[in-house]
Amino acid sequence: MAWDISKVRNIGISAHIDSGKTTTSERILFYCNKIHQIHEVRGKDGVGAVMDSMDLERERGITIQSAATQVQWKDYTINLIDTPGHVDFTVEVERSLRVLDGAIMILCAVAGVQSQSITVDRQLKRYHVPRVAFVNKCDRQGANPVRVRMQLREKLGLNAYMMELPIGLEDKLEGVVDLVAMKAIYFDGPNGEDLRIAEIPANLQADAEKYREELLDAASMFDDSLMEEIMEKGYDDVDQEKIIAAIRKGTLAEQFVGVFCGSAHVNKGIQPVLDAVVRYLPAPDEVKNVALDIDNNEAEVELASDESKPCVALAFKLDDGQYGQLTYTRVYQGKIKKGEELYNTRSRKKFKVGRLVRMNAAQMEDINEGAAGDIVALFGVDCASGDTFVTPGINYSMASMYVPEPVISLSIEPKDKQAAIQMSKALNRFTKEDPTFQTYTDAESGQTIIKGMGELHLAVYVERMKREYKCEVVTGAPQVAYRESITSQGDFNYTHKKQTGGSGQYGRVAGFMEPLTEKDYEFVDMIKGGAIPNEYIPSCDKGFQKAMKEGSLIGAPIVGVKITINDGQYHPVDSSDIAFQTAAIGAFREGYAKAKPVILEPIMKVQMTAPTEYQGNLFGLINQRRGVIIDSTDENNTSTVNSEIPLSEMFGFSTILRSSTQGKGEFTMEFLKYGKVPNAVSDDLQAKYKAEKAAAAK
Amino acid sequence: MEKKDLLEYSPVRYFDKATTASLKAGEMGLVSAKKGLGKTSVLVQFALDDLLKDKTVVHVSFDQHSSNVISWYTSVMAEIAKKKNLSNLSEISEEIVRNRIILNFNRETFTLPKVVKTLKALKEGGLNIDAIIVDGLDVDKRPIENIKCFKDYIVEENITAWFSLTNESPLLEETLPAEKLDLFASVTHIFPNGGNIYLGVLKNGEGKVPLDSKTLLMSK
Repeated sequence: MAWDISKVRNIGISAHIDSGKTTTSERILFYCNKIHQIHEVRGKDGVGAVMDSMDLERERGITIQSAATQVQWKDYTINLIDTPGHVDFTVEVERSLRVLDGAIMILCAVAGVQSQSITVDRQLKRYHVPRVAFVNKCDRQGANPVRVRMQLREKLGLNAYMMELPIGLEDKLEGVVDLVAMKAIYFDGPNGEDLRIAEIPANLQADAEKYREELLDAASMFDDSLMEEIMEKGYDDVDQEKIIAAIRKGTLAEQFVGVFCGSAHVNKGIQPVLDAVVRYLPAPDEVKNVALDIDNNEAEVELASDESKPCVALAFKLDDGQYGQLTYTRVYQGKIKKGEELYNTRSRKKFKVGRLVRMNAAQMEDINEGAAGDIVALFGVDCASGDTFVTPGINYSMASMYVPEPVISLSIEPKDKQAAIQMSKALNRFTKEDPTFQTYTDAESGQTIIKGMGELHLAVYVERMKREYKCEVVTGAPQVAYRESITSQGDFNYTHKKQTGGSGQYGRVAGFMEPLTEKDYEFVDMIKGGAIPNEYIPSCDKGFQKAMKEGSLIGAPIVGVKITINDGQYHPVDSSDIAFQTAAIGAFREGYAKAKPVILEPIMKVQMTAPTEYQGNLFGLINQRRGVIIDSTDENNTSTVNSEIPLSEMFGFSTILRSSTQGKGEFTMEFLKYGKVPNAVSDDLQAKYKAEKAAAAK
Repeated sequence: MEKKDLLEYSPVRYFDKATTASLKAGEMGLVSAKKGLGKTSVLVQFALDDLLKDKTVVHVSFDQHSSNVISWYTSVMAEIAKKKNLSNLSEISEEIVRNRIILNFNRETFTLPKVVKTLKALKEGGLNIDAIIVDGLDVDKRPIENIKCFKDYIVEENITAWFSLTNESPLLEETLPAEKLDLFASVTHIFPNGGNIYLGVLKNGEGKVPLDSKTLLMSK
């Protein structure tokens, strides 16, 4: 099929955990004829849904990694990315949203807007992604898509309108009423693949007319000619194409969200959602994309979806598999062609495009080129997630993706030697794929530490190590990433001397340290008259930076320190790089002790929601956790409380919240800032640290 | 400078010196003025004064966006800091806002009893409130029973509450109907006079305090 960018849709599916994203994707693939059977996510036939390309996802019933696939629907090309819903995998959603143009937001017809829906909504708004909503699970007891639409309006502030009404609900779900065409749609065949259009059932006629009026009134706000036609002809005889055009206008402007309904599980309602994707969501050339011109002070440059222009593409996902690294790439401008040269603006290296493929979950299709607006994958390119590829000759960078800092760490220890080798391979791969998953070796204990976004994030990687690399590890207790800092000026004047015969060491460093808020470290050289020779100034800097790695209070990295050296002394024979590094370390410790050091802890922004009757419990939970309530909003019997709570108080919180609200409360959490720990907590941490050190010394 | 030192320099000291309209526990006060003349700024100055005294303050807002409320506090604090050459502003700000809670309500569905319900929930959660700011509520249109219900609660809990009201008239009898006025211990009004703006007392004593025309801070 010739590439017609107006008939391309790059779409993500975003939603709360367990709202049916993967099942919906499975159905989409089926109806677009990519797969021949429908396999349930936790199906009895032993074969999992195609989109979940990892066993772990199938077992837990949750999606971990994003998978990308291209499907054809009618004469449109849809690049579909399935994204995880759990709060710990937000970076996967963020990454996908950076490269997509529109989204299907899936909600559960029973639970409605849940805590992760709120996070997803925030992400969609952050990246200006227009969306349609699909209220799934209308076959479940308690399903009420109209109530969910009200929640979209009230809790998320979306201008949401019913585009369909369900025909029957719960176990009586039969089909949907299309409020634009004013027809009933039934989904016949063993897998709902045969659409049967019929008249609206008599008992739904009044409701259909009511919701259609509402829909048309809302749509007409985006098109005066539609409004005129409604006034002239009434609601019944309005031109359908005009309605669609008006809704499209509103959706693209992010001022309208059409709400569809059905149940992916019982094969009802998916095909109209596909029609909605092509009708209402943008083509790649309808979205403004901007790059930064590095050669021109990062001036913004608007990109054109024009194949003839130089290529600009963003590597947004890496997958290090058995055949090498696969780099998922969104082409914004120009073309990526097999055999052609591209330039990585971050690594400043040119590379040749080797094998170019298109992905369908776990299957690959070789291609020769990828045009502007498309999502393709490159094989064997050494790069990092977030890199920009351009045609040599230009030097653009796509704005860096928002990547949250890891806030929790765990020690992991391989069970045996073989496991140690496999663990290293596993960590190498996982850290490359996921910038929020990091690892390092603790210098003192020699332990391997993994860092991530939450307890589940780390637990899944530990599990993946076991399954994919046959590497079993023992994990320690979750550790909060504390920091140390200073709160006042601390002077130092330290002499390092070792002159007991033979070549010695000598260096004296004097100056002061003071708190710094804008960054972690700054070094200022105010030495006059060569008191410390120029060649040893960098040694002092190096020594200070070494000392910053471990504070004296609890051994945590030190941040926010400005060091000025203004005096010193050297020995013509015994002074050296090492001598001044050592002197600087001693000087740092001397100044640090006087600078009123404090311990800092990660503070999380926590949003909790629960029915209003549990509001007191929410306030209590925050209060008990040294939290600060920022605000509380009370609407339609739901309380939403925003607070700031230290991470150290949040372990196991989901269980506690569930039990305090009888399972009706939810929360989302993200890193906000570092804050000073209270004195009592500081004393405890220091005592614990001293005890651990003493035990290690024995 | 420490938080307690800053209290001495709080603009509300000028109000205390110039008038007798400061609220005691269990009392409600009203700041009225025509639109845009500085009611929110005055209420925020009262709130900040209480926060500097280590009191827990609830700010009732109808904005749905706490960031707007928060930025009011930030800018008033910044003005105070500028006047006193305060270097550790962010540290003190962080400390005092720990005791500030913003309650957002939808104006259409808002009732004063709802606030009382939330205050009770806060107490249930272990948080004792000392002062309340209710900014932007059309007290003149609210049912008197609801205002009484609110008043009863603050009397019971020994809390103070300042309200704002958009009202052009500088006359006490034209501010609110008498039976509603009775529920407020202090009524003040912001009025221009020549090129200056003043916060004057209409009920509970007399006196007036000038507001700086640029910063709207109470001044000498």
